[in-house]
Amino acid sequence: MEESLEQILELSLTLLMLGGAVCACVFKDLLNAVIAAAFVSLMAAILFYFLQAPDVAMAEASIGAALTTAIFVIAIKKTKRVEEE
Amino acid sequence: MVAVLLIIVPLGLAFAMPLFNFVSKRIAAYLPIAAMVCNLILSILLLPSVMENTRIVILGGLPPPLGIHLVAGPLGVGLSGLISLVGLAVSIYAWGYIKQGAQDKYHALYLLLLSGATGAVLTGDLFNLFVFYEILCISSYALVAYLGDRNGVESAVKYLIQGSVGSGLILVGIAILYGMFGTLNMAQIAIHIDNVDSPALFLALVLLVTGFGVEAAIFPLNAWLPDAHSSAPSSISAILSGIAIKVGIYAVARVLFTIFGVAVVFQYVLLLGLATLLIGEICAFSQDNIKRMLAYSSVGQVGLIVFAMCIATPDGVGAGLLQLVSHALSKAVLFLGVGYLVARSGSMSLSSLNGIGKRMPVVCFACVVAAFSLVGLPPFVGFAGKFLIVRAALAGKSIFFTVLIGIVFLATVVEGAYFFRMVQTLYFKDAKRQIEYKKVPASASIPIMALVVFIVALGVYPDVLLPYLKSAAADLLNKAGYIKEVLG
Amino acid sequence: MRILISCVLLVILSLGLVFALEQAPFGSNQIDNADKPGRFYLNQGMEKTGAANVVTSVVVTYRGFDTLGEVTILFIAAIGLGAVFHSRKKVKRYEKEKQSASLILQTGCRFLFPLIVLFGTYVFIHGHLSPGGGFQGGVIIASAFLLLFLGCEEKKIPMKSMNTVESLAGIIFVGIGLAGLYWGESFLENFLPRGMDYMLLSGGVIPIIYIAIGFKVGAELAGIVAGLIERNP
Repeated sequence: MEESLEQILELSLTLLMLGGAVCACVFKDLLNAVIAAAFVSLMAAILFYFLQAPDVAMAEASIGAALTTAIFVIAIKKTKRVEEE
Repeated sequence: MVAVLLIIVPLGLAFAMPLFNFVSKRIAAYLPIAAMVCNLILSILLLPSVMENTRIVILGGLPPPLGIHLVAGPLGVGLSGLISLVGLAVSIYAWGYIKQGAQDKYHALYLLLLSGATGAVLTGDLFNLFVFYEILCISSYALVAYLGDRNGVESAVKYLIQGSVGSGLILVGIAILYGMFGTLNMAQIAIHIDNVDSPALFLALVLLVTGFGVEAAIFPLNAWLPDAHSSAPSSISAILSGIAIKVGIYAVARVLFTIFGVAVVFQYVLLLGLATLLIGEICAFSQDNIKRMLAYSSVGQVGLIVFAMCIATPDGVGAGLLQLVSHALSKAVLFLGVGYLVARSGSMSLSSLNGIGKRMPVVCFACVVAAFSLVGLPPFVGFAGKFLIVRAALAGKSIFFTVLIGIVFLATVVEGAYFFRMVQTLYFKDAKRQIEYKKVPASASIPIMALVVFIVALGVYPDVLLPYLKSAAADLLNKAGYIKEVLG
Repeated sequence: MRILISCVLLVILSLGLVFALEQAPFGSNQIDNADKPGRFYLNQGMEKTGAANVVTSVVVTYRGFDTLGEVTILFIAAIGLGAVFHSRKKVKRYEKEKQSASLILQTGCRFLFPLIVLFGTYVFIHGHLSPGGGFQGGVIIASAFLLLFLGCEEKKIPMKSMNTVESLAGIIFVGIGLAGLYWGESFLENFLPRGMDYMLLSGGVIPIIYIAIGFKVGAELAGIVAGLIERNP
């Protein structure tokens, strides 16, 4: 029973990750796209934890979800915010 | 043990560069020269002893399948000698050429590029090859954007995106190989690959060749090259065309010959090489910007080298290696010379260089020598390279190869056309406006003339290189021998 | 029409990939074969190197050369950014003052900054005993500096000290490798005594290398963030 619960959890996290990735490509407001990309990194970090790799999960959470998001936001602030057609 | 120093000395000096910067700003320009002299001496000292038996240098204290090791064989040490020779010439040139921007950062990046190139040709482990290949690629992205002008940054961004996609593909390929075999050692993967037959292996081969092929600029993947090599500062164009592309070709060759060794794939890569040759030469013919013309010529020559190597006989691989050496020397001379020609005349278009041969005789003479060597005229090393390629291709006596050699001759004719047009512009056209005759500094003419001396000397006495080429070709082709040397 | 063609191509590509990857034995017990490196690291990693965290012993000892390469790549990124930014002008003071943060934010950031730095230091010092390590700890320290930039803007990051710390840490890493060459037999060999298990000073050179990596990564990333914020594009 609990093995199938874990499988359901992993499957739903993977689907959420895919959804976040599609949103990151489709959104026109670049700030929303960056938040979606940070969401993908967060889901990946949780999935790494479920695959029993805590070091990789820490690295992915800190670098993917925190630092690259901040760098992207600084870059958006200095250039333009909305992707035109 | 000494082979590790070939990689660590440039790396350590680059790490220490900010500390040297505190002492004095001008020291930064001397460090690459010192490191490359050290590397050149070490390579020349190592070469005779590794020609007989390959040395395996263990890193981290564990023997080969469990830890990383360096394979200092004739191919690796020879290529690292070539890297240090061209690197030394370009660093002496850059001592006088790079005068603006953050110079200490330029020299640190340059040292790291050469260290990455040396590491990639010396290593025996697949993931280590990827790491050093990444060091080479990322420092070349940063160096293309070094001047900070609009063209340079735009070309660097294009190069970066394509290179990063390529690196992602390599990583997936390595992951598939690790998942199937449980090891990252190239010799161990080579042993086990003969026993397994599955489509996933073909996928891994395609991903690895595509990923490494982005840096090697094989036909569909070379869109970044004309922009990057023409917008970079000239010393960087010289080292990119001379060394960085060759490391990509080496990585593709290592994956194809040593790890996979499947005979069927060679024909496809041969055709890709031929397509690259044709596209490079035809596009070069129609260019007006001289640096773009030289960049497309690099694409063409890469196609020729890949074509020669995929003939997959010892003569073919040896001829490909000789053509690699000849192109590295000649293209470095061309880009270094054109750097000052463009700086004196003020624009990169071919028509602005009319008649400049009378005012800058040394540099133009060197460019003419290098151009003739690339086309393949007799007293220069390019003739030896092309002659060996033709002889190796026709040795099998098959119609297929005869037709392909016909196409190679056609491409050589086109190449001759645009290089002769360049020579005609330099010497036989009249200058439209007077260019002031400032002498080219000695720091530029000495390395250019030294490389020209090498081109002429190797062209007159190519027999000096032949035993080395034979053992290097055996290193690449002889999969069983490689495995025996590494794993015992 | 274009969307239809791209969807069809995507479906064909994914079917091909699924068919090819199905044969690759992901997740199987390939490493149970005793002579494969993976099983060797798991079985004997702790006895040979003395680090309780096997991942750390793999990263620093068995594949330490790759870690040196990765640290170099981060260094290249930091220097490359510095080189491209060299010609850009700094952001003027009056532009920055328009956007200063509120009082709660400033006090909170000033309070949290030393705590986050302490946490990051904990992560990289205990890299060989618990999950974590040099890279993770360094990035946490860099995010503390990012918080400082966003919250309290009158504090400046001393760039010269960051550069000095970064290059000293790099030289220490290469120096330990060369010391392994001198006292042991190969580059990056673990030549210090193994020590007792689970203590802070165990594992030979592993804690020293991880401390060097932690400082280097933290200083580099803080420098990158500082360069991005302070320069005009």
